Amino acid sequence: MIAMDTTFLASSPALAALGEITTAHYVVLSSLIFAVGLFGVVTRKNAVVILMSLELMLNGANLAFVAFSRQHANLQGQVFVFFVIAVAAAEAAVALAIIIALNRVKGGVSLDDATELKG
Amino acid sequence: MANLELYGYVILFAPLVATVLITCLTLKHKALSGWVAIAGMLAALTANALMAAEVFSAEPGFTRVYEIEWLSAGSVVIPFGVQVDALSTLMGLVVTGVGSCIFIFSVGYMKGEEGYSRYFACLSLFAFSMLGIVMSTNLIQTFIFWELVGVSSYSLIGYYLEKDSAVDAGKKAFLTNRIGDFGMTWGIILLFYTIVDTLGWDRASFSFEDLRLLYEDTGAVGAIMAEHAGTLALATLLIFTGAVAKSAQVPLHVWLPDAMEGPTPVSALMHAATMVAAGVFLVCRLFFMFAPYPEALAVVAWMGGITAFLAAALAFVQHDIKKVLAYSTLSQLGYMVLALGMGSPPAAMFHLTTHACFKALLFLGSGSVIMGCHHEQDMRKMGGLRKKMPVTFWTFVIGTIALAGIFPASGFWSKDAILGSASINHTVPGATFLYGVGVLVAFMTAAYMGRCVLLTFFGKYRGHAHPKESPATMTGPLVLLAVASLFAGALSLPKGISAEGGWLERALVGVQAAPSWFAGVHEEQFHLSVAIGGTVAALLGLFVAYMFYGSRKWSIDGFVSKVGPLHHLLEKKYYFDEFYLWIVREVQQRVAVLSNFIEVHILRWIVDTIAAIHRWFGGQIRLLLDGHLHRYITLALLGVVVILTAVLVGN
Amino acid sequence: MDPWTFWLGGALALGGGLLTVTRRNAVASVMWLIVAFVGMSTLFLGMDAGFIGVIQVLVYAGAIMVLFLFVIMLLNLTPSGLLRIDRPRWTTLGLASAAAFVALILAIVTGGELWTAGGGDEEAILQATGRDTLIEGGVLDVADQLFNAHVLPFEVASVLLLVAVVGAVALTKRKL
Repeated sequence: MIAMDTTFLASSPALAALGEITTAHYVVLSSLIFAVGLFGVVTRKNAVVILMSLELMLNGANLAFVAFSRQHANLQGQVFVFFVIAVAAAEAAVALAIIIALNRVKGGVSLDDATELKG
Repeated sequence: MANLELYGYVILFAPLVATVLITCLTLKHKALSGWVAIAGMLAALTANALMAAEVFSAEPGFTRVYEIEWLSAGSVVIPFGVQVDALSTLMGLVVTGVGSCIFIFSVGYMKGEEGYSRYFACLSLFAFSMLGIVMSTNLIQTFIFWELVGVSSYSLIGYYLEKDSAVDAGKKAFLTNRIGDFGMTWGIILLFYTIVDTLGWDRASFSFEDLRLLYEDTGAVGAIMAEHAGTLALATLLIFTGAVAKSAQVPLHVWLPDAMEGPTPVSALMHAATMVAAGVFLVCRLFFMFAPYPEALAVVAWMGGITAFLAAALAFVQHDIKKVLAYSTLSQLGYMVLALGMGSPPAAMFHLTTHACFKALLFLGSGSVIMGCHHEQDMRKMGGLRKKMPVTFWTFVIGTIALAGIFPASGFWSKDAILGSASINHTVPGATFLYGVGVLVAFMTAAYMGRCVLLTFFGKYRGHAHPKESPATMTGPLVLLAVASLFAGALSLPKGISAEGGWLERALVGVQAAPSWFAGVHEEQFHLSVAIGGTVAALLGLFVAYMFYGSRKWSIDGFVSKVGPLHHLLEKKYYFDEFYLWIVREVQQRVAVLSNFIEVHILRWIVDTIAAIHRWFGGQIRLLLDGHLHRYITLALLGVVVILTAVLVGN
Repeated sequence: MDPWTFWLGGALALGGGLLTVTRRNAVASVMWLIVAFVGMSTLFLGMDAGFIGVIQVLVYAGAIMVLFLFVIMLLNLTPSGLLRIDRPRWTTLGLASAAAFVALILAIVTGGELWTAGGGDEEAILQATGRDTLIEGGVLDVADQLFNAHVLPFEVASVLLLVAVVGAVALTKRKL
């Protein structure tokens, strides 16, 4: 689909390793994006940023879906990504509404203030 | 013939459609609700009449089964459908015919009631349930509608929600019927299990026609069936307990008199004409299961005979006009069951049909009387209504003549058929004695009905209201039913009167399963001696009633004082209610206390201990969950890492 | 697979993501997240998943992130804390877990044939799946899947979105 002359990569052995992209590359990348999102969720207080981190995690998973979809020559992975995006949109709408409500009740969006959900 | 299936489903579902329409749309419009219900019933009646025209003109034993697969589990299929044969058509005609009259009567009787629409919705639901039993093709479908009949009966007995006695009566009816249903459930299970156990899953079925084939098999299957006669007879009798409860036979009869708390048309429709006849109908439908076992039939016969006598005796001491009719119903149902036990389902169905006509007539007549007397049911406060309510009086008298079995009203012919079957039976132990009981009950029936008529319509008016004749929506059905009560006997004139013998008997030939020992038992001959005996007993009964209550030449009080203890026993209804109360208070209460002890001190201790252990662990773990979401997610991630590591190391 | 789409898209996605989670200002986070999504889109396009790549930009970067911006402005958020990372105590554990997770994934994929036996090689994939051509996630192809095989989930998703809208309105309205 998008093509580019990459033969120059093969000219150098060091670059050759860069040139051979396997599904595993994508999976590792997806886990890295996931981990970054997770890092945000764990370390941040701001509910809006945490929500963005969640979106990042979802994207990490999406990447793995598409990669495996290609690997297995099966479009269902991409269909699943479509549904993930739909669910993410729904989730964002509801979560942002919750954040607005939280801001109204607690006077801020720090999740450290919302600790009612405890055992 | 293709239309038969359509007719069957129309009969079944027209009342249901009426119920749904009333509940969903017309609850607020009372008059409309009534007419919707009547329209549903008339649609069913029309379809049933069309069906009758085809079925009764076909050859005897004509049977068509239309089914769809409703539930299937493995090789067992539970169908749902309609069975079209002479039995279901006749029973359907009784239900829809009498039902239509009663629906129309209700328009007048229930005028101005608070729950008018609810009443008609329940009535239509009942009609649907009852027709479900009638049209059913298999035991499971029958059982479902059997329960539905119980539910709709419950809701109608307890129609006057604000009256405690009505609500209690509804509960009593429901619970008593549950006892029978419990037996019936086990009967069906035992029957099914036995067939699976002996003949394998291939022959296992709930369908009447499949079962009939098994029972009537003369080859290898028949031999296997004969080997397990004991178990199968037990299963049959267990199913019969369902019929005992629904048809209010002793000892499960206690609910029926109380059920008179419902509105009078309900008593007429359900607790006289149709619902209580369901038990008799079921035995007819399953008669092939009873026929091979003379012992089972003997139990049935004795149960019917005992009920007929005990109930008839109770009718003498009632002052409530509806209670008299209720015990009379019990007694007549006993008659029908007696006929079944004597091996004559056609006689039972014949009496069921005629009884439905004249008992519905009598109940509606009593309803008209009760309306006229401003909801007074006590006969001691009636009297002299003959002049004030002439239509009601004459139709009531016709009903009485029919019930007493005086020639030529319908009751004469059907009672004669039953007594005839008893007189020639030679398989039931004590058949001659039961025949004697039958004649005695005929005498008693005439006597208590004579008492009822004399107290209500003759003498001087003893109440305080101003009775006047009921409106046309009420007298119209009365006249219709009176005509039917007079001439329904023509359905089955016995041999010796008409050339071909009973039409009904020929139509119902398919009901009879006839093993070899059975030959000749169900021959419906006209026996002059039986007819004369029955008629003399009835006339004697009327005479006795006249001497006590008409001319007052014999003193009631003197008679009562002579038979004091017996009178007391009757007043207490043989202490059945007290006995059941004792069981509940003493036996059941003790068991309940014991169960409670086991539950509180043993079972609950075990459960509490287990819960305490978990609570302790939970108490430790909950410290981790302090409400900070990021900690939760970190812990979840740790879990994922641990699991992944474990999987990786495991590989 | 084109290596440059992987490296470019990966760098954008990962870098954008890292900057998203470390910005003090939420508006800056949103901007960097959009960069990350563009990177994701590049990755999808590189894998011939054209439809997903397009809606990634249209729906995610376009619609959802605008919603975020609106909310941030509505709430008038001040930049949070002096520290970009708000919770040093739990950060260690979170970081360690995340790193362990990535390490595990790395261990799993490098141990399997995804890594070596032509995991991205067109010939190998075609051979393994017995197809003539690689799949392409164009609009037509995905639509065919969505509206034939997965039409029920599709309708359910639409109901879910409707419920989410109603729920969001119910949550934010002061008085219903």
